[in-house]
Amino acid sequence: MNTDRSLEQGAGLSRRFPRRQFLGAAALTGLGAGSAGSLLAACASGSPAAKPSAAMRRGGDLIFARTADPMTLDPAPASDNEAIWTILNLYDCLYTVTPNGHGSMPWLAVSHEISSDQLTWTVHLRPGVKFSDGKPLTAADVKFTLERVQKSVNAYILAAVGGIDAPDASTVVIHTKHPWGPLLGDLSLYCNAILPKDLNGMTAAQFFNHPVGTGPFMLDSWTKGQALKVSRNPHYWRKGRPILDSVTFTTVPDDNTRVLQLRGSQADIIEFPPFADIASLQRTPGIKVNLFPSTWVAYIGMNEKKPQFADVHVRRAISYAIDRNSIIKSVLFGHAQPAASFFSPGWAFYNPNTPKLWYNPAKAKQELSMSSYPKGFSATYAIVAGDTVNSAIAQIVQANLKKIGIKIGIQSYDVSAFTDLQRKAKYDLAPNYYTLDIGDPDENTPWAIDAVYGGSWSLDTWYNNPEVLKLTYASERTIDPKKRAAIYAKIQEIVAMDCPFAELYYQPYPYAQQTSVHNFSIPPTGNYHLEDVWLT
Amino acid sequence: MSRSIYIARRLVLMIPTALGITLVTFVMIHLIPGDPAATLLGMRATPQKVALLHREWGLNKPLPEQYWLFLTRVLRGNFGDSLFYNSPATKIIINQSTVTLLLIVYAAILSVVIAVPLAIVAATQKDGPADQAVRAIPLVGLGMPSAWVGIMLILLLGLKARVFPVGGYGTGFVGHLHSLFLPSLTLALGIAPVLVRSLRASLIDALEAEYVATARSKGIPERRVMLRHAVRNAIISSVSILGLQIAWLISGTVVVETVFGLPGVGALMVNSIYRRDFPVVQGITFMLALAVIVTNLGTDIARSLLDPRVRLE
Repeated sequence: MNTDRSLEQGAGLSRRFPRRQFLGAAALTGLGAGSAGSLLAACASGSPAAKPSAAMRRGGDLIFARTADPMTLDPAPASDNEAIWTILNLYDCLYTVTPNGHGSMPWLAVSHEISSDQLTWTVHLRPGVKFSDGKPLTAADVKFTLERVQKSVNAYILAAVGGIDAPDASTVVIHTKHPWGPLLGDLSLYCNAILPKDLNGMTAAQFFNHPVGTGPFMLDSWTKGQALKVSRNPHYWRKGRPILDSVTFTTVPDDNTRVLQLRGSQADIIEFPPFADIASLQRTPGIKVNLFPSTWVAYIGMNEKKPQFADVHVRRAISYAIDRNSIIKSVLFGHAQPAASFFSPGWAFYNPNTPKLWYNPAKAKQELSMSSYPKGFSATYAIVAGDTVNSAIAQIVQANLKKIGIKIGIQSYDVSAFTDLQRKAKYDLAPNYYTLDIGDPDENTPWAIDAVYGGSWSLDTWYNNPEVLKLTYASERTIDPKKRAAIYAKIQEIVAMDCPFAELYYQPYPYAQQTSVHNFSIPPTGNYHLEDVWLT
Repeated sequence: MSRSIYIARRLVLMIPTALGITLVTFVMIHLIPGDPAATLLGMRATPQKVALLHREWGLNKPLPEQYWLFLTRVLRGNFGDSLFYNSPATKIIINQSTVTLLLIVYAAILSVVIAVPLAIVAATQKDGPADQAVRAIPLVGLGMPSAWVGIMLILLLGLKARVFPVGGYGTGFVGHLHSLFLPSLTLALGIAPVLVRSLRASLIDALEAEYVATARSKGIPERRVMLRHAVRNAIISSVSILGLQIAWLISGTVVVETVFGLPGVGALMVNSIYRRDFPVVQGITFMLALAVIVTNLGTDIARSLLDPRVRLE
């Protein structure tokens, strides 16, 4: 659930998270396309052995240039995307997100049953799975891992779980305090990636310097700030995988340098090329650009601790005043979709019929005239210094809001100061984004709209609508996905009209690669299955 | 005063200077807003979790006590653990310093290799076309931002000619030399113009000096006159300038490290400041302060070795 302020990205002279967006409708509707997707689907239907392709070549080292180092290899406290996506290549969860991002499928588990009172989930583990040290995976490892998460900073995700039993080596029984619809999605969250019981008797510091997991790769070496190398796990449970011998994740925070390294054949895949370079990269022979549909939602947060933004008419006026199409056209080079719902199309239960409070100067003025500030006011707009995308967006927003009488002053902060400003509710307006890691919105709703329980005070906007909370809790306590979809559709409609965030756009995850890299594909949650990738 | 006593005295004086610098850094980074715990936890930063991390990191103690703890650790060569990497700050800093150090030494050598022949050509053909060219062209180089020079070198020698890698650090010593050539050249092109001009000016003075006329009249070959007599004397003032330039390089490598994707200490410093990774920031500041002080001392010693008239006191 990377957010702007989880700092992993702050680094570098150019801001690491390019928030450069490319989404095209085609990319969006092409959910689940790609051969990795079909392999995953094969796994889901219970045949983990992937068919080797004739052209497939085994071996090789894939050089993967990313914007930042992972902050940790410990799944329980992780929050940055580089850590999450590395972790999911070292360890596996019981369930994983489906290729289209809208659900969960068995991974280390093969099946489950729910008791008639909907309070007990019996999960059967996949037989024959071994850790990278050769020891078999057992239910005791699962019990240890989940109980460890319950003591971590990510404990909220298992808050509904009352107890975990391991009646035999291959069965895990999870008791929930009340019926809990998102459980499978929650189990597929990276922090619930399965570790060996008692960390094999080591301290966390010792263990995570030489981690052991059931994932396709194991840690080879990590020179902080330079490169993290993983090599093939010989005990990996999916037959014939990984195809590569190893993957070297290099850390190259500068956007231009990453692109140059790709052009100079020093990198096989690069993360987040700047959107300004996409067109020229697409024209370069030997290079391919992928714009994977993502779960990324960009928004402007409005601080309801300030009287102006506590007024719903002001918030709506701002949303109506912003010209999303010009932002997408001039800043994102057309590679994004305007956003209305706080769910993205890459999330389960996305409601395409959410009310669109989009560019409409007349409506903006009308809403403002209904507010306590009919003549407008002055406010600040905080951005992170060096964030070129948000700096450009800020200027468009400034011009848009000026037309309805709201004068904003743009102020730049470094990432830590920006975080501080938000946490202490000292800002007026601030752009931000969030992403989702599982096939269930339950990872994000506590943070996004729950000022009571979530701990982030509705993404620091202090938005609090008891009706929304009631509906959210009701959806979480419902098992039937159809009923949940109806509730979440309603929630998205209410939140859109309450407008705690001026939703801006949905963007894809851009990756550029050599054409010698095959089968690189990611679900909207952004985690990659590098075990399916090969090089020619 | 003998040279060794002088050096010993300078070394002792280094300590309060370095400590003063760490104190200023410590106060400044704690004064600016921003909390590493909130930064690390992001959305999950509830007050309880922030307090927990503060206790774990010792950030809940009063500032003077934190500074005192920092000092006692430094005496044992330990800057504490990085708040963001699960490893000691000292280890991370030393790891990344080697890249920066190699880069600086390499750049200094390249700048001398570029400057000395050019200065000799210019001085011996004073006011001729070669001299004019040597005086004019490097000035252009001086005016160019190193980020731009670096990108141009990458485009020409990295992507077009494919002679050098476009970034990274390479493996093995030869690999490092190969990978670091373009970044070092970028830095060298920035400092060589100053060196050329100072060396040219002092060479011209030296060539007009009486001892050079004497040497020539004794029939010593021109080449030997130039290298043994003129250059040796002319280079003394340039050593001071090179020393100053190296001190500037220590702080100026950040841009070049970024452009070439080098895992150097400059990039680490910037990132650590953004994250408020206090132990790493303090550790780097301390080491950089020492490096600048040692470079200045080394420059003075080198001058005294080259010129017996320079007295160290």
